[in-house]
Amino acid sequence: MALTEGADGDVVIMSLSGSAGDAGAGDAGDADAGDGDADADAAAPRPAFVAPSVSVSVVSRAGSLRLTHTFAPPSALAARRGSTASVGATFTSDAALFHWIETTRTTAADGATTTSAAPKLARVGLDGSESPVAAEPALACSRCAIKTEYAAVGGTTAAIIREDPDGTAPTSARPRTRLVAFDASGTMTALVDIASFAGAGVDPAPPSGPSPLGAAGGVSSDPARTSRLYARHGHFVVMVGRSAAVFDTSLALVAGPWGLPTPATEIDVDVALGELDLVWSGSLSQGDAAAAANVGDQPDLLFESRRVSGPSRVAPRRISTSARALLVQRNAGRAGVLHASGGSVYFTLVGDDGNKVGGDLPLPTGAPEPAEMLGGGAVSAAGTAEASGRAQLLFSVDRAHFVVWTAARDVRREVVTCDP
Amino acid sequence: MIRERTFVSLLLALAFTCSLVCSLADSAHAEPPPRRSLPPQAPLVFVIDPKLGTEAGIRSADSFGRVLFHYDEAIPAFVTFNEKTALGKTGAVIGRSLQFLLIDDPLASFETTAIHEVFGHGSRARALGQQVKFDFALPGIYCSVLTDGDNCTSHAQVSTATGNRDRDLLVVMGGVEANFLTAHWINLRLMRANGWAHQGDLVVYLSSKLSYASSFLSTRLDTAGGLETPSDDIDRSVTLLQDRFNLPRPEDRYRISSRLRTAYLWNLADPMLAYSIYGVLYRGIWRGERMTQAPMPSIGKTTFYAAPRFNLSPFGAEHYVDVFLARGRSVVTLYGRAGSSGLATYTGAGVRALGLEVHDRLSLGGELDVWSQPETLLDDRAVYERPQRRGLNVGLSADLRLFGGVGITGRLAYKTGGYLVGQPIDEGPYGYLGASIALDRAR
Repeated sequence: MALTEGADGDVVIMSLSGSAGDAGAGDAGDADAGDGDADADAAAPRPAFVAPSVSVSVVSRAGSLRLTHTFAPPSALAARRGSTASVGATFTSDAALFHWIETTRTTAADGATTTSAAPKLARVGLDGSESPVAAEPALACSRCAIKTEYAAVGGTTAAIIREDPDGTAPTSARPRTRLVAFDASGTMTALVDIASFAGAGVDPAPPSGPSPLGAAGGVSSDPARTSRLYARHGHFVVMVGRSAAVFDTSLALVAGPWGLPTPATEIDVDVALGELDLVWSGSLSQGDAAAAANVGDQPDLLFESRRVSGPSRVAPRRISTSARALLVQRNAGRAGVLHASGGSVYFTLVGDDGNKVGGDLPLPTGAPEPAEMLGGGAVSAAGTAEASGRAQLLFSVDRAHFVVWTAARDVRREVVTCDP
Repeated sequence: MIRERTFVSLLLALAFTCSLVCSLADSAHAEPPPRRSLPPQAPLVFVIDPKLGTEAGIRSADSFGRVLFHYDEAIPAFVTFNEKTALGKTGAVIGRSLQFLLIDDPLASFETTAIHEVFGHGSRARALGQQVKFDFALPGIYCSVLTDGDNCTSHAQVSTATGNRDRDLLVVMGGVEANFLTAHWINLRLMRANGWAHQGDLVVYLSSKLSYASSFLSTRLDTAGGLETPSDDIDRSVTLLQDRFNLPRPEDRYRISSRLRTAYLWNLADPMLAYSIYGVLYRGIWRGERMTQAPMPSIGKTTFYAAPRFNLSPFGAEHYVDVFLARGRSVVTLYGRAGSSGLATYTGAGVRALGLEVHDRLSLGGELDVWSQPETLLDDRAVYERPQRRGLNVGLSADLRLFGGVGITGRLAYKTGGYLVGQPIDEGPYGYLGASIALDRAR
């Protein structure tokens, strides 16, 4: 299940359901996943792949249900029985754009096996209409595995696509990560090499599915979060390693890139406002490990606010102690922060001057455990979505911060307002 | 190893016996005050309160200690030294030194440690809902000699990492808080006794006032975990203050610890501390006097005395000025207090009266405390900026003598939420009830 922010404070709830079998979307990107290779699974053959449908619910900020619809998988995806990975979808106002990766394993005469992979997309409308499957040859690769992460802004869907050479590739082969844009029918409209902003020396880890902030986003299945893509204020925010940048829907660089304190930094960027907020778990006492380790029982939770172009507006400062920063979002001059500490999830408010307002507000019982949040909104297409209970979303309307999360089969919401 | 330990134990037993024989003989030799001229002594008080709080514990432990320190009166003299001769003086001083080392100091050490752990850390932790266990090391020299000596530190098994720094600070600082409060109660007692103090009072006073003195004064406090003992209360307190007031940098710690080090000098600038050193070393060990009278200024029948007092509060160092006024068995004490940590603004003042006789068998007391300090939040996490709150504590105490010197004593008070040394942190009524034994009247 994934939560994304829609227009006017709407919450878009997406989930994959009905998938099963060896496609192993939860293992998406794994070169062996989904190919039903006999050598690995001869003793215990996996059941055939079943394409998942996508359920979408749109809930207004007042809690009323605006839309609920289940998109059946496109026929091309539904027809597959294996060798299918990274199944997911993004949602626009009138359609779901399904995406998946088809893999092919070839065994040569000498017994060596190689894997090739190709991302595919297909649109399914609210009326059930389907577009032809889009497969961009430039995105396919041989002797490789592919991992993807998708998000959507309006009618544009973007993806981080990473290729990793498999074991048979030449040793000179390097991983390659690209940012790609697709139109509503899944046709590629723009492509950017991630190294162009993340630095040529950067070897970004695989992407992972949408950040919980994904604002018009999608659902996916890759578990890691070291490369992230999400939509915010009509732009795509891309985070790779210790770099982050903002792109428009044509993938033109709008702002950044910025260096991040740690790869696990959470950011909120408002290009129109010209501000960038960062929150991360670390230490202000760099160089004094003893002091840093003893002041709090957990690492410091640090906050910084920067100008999109220019120096820091609020220098890094400690706002709490926490094992993990989860989210940050600015609203009406104040930044709401979600973080996990000691088995609980807390909301912390930071004023425009960087000073903390009040204390840490614990989310009520039923909030996701930190360990469950690691997926950051990603869901498995292998049938675990209903039990994952790990997606969460922080957004704001007026002067209220809304924290929404999924727990088991429920979607729960906490509204935080502070006076004045 | 076993042989060595046995040999040391034998030597220790021999020294103990020698010190007991010599010192008791010497004590018999020294001139005690004539019994008829003994001044009024503060009664022994054994009280309990439902929460096993700090003040009730201190008063009871102090009384129990006083009883133990009269051990010498129960043992007859064995040897008389002629202290007019060099040999006799040498023998007597050696005997009394051994008595101090082998009996008085371990007794005081045990009493101070028990108060520190059980009614300091323990009381605060119990009040905050924790289950508490204690580990006690052998007191004084016995731990060094009879154990491997690697760790002669007693412990209260409490949590100081609850995530709520107000709770953690109360528990961590509760130990030295109880020791400093013990010294204050000894001062109160001595005022009621017109300055007369037993050697035990002076040794316990010293031990209480100098609790963790080496940590307070150490420059190792400038680095978190810099003090060797992993559970050093003062080290941990500074770390918690850093966290509570959101000052995590090394330079922040240095500022807090250096201020605390300077502030601690207030604790040492205490006339009674100086008198205790003088009383123990010169009047006690050199001259063999078990009871001494501290000089107290007086006007008419009213004795008065002013002294600085020090405390480690959840906001940092706290400085008091106590003014004691005594007449007969009645004593009134007034104080003003202010903090110097620079972390917050915390001030207060109060007055307390004890032993005001309204009848031959009934004496009353009262107390009033007011303060202004940052709000205490026991259920919130990482709240750095707090509103300033004013607080109030009022109470009454009574001592009713039933037969002979034995009576009942009690205290009932009410306070608003906030920190007051030795008292519960929460708002509400509290108090204690128990027995009192007026030693002078019993005679």
